[in-house]
Amino acid sequence: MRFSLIGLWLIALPLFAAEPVDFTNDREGTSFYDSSSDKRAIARALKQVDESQIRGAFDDVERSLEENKLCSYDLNASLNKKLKEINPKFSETEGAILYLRTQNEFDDSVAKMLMQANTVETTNLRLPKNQEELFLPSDKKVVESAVATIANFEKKNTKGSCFDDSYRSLYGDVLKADKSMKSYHFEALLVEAYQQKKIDINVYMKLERARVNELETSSYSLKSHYKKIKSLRNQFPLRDPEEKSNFVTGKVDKLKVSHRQKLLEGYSDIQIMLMANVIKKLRTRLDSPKAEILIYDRQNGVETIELDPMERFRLAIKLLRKEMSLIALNTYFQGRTPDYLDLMTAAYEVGIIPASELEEVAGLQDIWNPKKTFWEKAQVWIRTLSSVATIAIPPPYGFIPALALVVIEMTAGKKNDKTDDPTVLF
Amino acid sequence: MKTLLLVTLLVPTLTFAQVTERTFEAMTRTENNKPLVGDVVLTDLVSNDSFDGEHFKIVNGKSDEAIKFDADEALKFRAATAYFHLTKARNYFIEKIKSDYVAKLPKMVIRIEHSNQFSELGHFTHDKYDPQFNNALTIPAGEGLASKGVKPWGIEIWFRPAKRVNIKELKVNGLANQEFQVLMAGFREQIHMQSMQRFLSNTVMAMTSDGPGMNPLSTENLIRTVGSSIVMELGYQFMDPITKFFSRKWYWLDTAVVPEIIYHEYSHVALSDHLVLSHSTAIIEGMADYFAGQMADSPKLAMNIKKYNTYNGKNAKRKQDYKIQFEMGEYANTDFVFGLLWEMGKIVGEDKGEAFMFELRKKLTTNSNIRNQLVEGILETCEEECTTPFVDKIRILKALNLKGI
Repeated sequence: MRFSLIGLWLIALPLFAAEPVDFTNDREGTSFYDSSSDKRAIARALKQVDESQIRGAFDDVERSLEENKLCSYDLNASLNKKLKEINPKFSETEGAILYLRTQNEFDDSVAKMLMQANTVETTNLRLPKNQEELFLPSDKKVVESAVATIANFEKKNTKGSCFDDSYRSLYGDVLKADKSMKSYHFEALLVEAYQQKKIDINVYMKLERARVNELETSSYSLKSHYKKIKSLRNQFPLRDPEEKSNFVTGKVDKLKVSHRQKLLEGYSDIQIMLMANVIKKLRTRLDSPKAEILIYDRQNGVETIELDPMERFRLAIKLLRKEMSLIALNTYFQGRTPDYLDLMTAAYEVGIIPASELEEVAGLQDIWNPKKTFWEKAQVWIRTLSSVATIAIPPPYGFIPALALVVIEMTAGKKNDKTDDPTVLF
Repeated sequence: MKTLLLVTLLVPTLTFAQVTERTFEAMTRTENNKPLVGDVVLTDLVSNDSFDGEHFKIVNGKSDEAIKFDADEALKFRAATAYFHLTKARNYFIEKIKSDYVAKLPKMVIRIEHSNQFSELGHFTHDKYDPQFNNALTIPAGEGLASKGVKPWGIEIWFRPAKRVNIKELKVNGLANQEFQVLMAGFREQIHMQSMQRFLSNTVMAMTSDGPGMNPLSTENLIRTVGSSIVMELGYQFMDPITKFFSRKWYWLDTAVVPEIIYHEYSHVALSDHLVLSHSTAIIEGMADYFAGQMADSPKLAMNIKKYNTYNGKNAKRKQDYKIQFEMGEYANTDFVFGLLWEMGKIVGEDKGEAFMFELRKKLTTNSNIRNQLVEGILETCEEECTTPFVDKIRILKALNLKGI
């Protein structure tokens, strides 16, 4: 009887065994981290250990990872340990991370988190702090409460949560005492906690490095990333897992992230699916060979108006614009309006739009938000200056700015707005 | 019996033996598409003394006889030019476009110096009816009228004689002229507004300034301020007579010596399996222009003959927004469809453009319009022919949207 129970247990064991963690990049083409300084960092790392050693070390680390305990700090520590076993002088963790990204061991989002963890751990602090530059919150009760919260940090951190989650939780707890608290208050509170010997120098430095690197501003972690990707892949299995896109690793205007990093950091898996669905409908409409408008009287259809191809195209664009606005009203978005490129990246993420179509469909944005050429930008200035010059320049030379104004009116005034054209519906 | 067999064998052999090549002077183009008179070799001739070939017979006017090699030099030059470029066009459609229809076309009669109008029943109208000049025309085949002695005829190309015509007698669509008039109207408005602003600002300055300033009502100031407006107004009101005085007054077009026109007309023939030669529309003219442009290897079709003609000069690269008028009437012959097809050809790939357009003809009829059937036809053809149909269709739709369709 005992043997049969053991036998059953042994049979069932593999079913309960956790799936191995796999970070392999399955969507991104050339990395967002592809600058010459990134390449130099890789070269420095490869001087200390060779390519196969970095990949081998990471494979070992990856095999030992558990899905519920994923942590960029722990992963970096394990990787560093392995690489230091190969070369005790190894110091180029960032280069190793970037190299692993080039080999598609993981994507840019994972690379970013690992590099941020590395930066947090290696940032040089200017110590001791100048007391005159430290500003504690004015309310002493707030200070006491915050210092007590900071004192408990180590206890909470040792419970198995990742450092970034623990730090953000601590920051949130401290903020509960005074929501108007700023980062410089937190800086002073950390010093206060250390001076009161509530935390030791190591914990102080770790927390201060996290503060300096503004770890509290993001809520994205390795664990949540892995969970999100897994959820998306389960619900939308990729038709072509080998497909890669350089478009999604392109830089977002005015931000230091790629389109895909922005998407994954900023939206939940459900939001991504809803966004992708908008593009799915757009694609169907763009590809549709026929669209009709049916007119009914009170009982029957009395008229069918068939849209011509360009009307169908403009209808698809108008419906897209409408649905982009409506998505903000969805409870899952809480008023947040994703931009068109977010939708495109979401559609690619779940495989609705293949990489080959991505750039062209994304380019539809030019229709409602056309890029301005140099001449169009210059026209604004020429028009302004010419208007002044028409009065300032005396005859007979006054015709020059007048002519410039007329030419600008002729060229800039052309808009393909079909709304006033009675021969088209859209 | 043996003799009979020998003769039977010899007759076709002799016929083939007559297919000859001969060198003539004709109008060609340089690499830069400039006109060049030079020697060309005419192939597939089946006659030793006339422009009668296996595929084309060049006749003078209403005649049924091929033009003789010893005809007068000017006629011979036109015949040789037409024959040479028609052969080139035929080879293009057979060898490059792989058109079975063109390969199977029967021998065509090409009429040069032919001024009679076309009649669906009688082939030609009577000489007394308004003779035609400075033009070229492709006519559909006809069954003839046996009761009146009119024999059946095949598809023919007619090149009209060149004739100096006073520009006043021509109906010109004048799109460029319209644009110039809009520019002048805007300029005039701006100058008047400028004069008004100057007068008001001088008046305000004089009223608000304590020191001695310019009197806005002084003669000097009035002359300076109003002077520009008067000069502008005079120029504007007399613009038309002045333009007419300085512009050229005579127009003529010798179509039989313009390679692009020859290609254009032959393209009508090659496309006539689907685009029936009944009347001229924007689409069939644009399609013929496209292939003529490809054969001439130039988007500037007819720009080379601009100095002879009065219409805009067909230029595929001319940016032009869609106007509903392009669908019909005299605007139908403007270069909008040509430019549009040229752009579409670039989108689907330069190596595929010609095959694409040739397939496109299957989706069109002579009565197709631009906004509906042409655009639909382009999208459907792309679905069948493009390497990446969805992406290419998006590119096409974006380009068409920019064209204002």
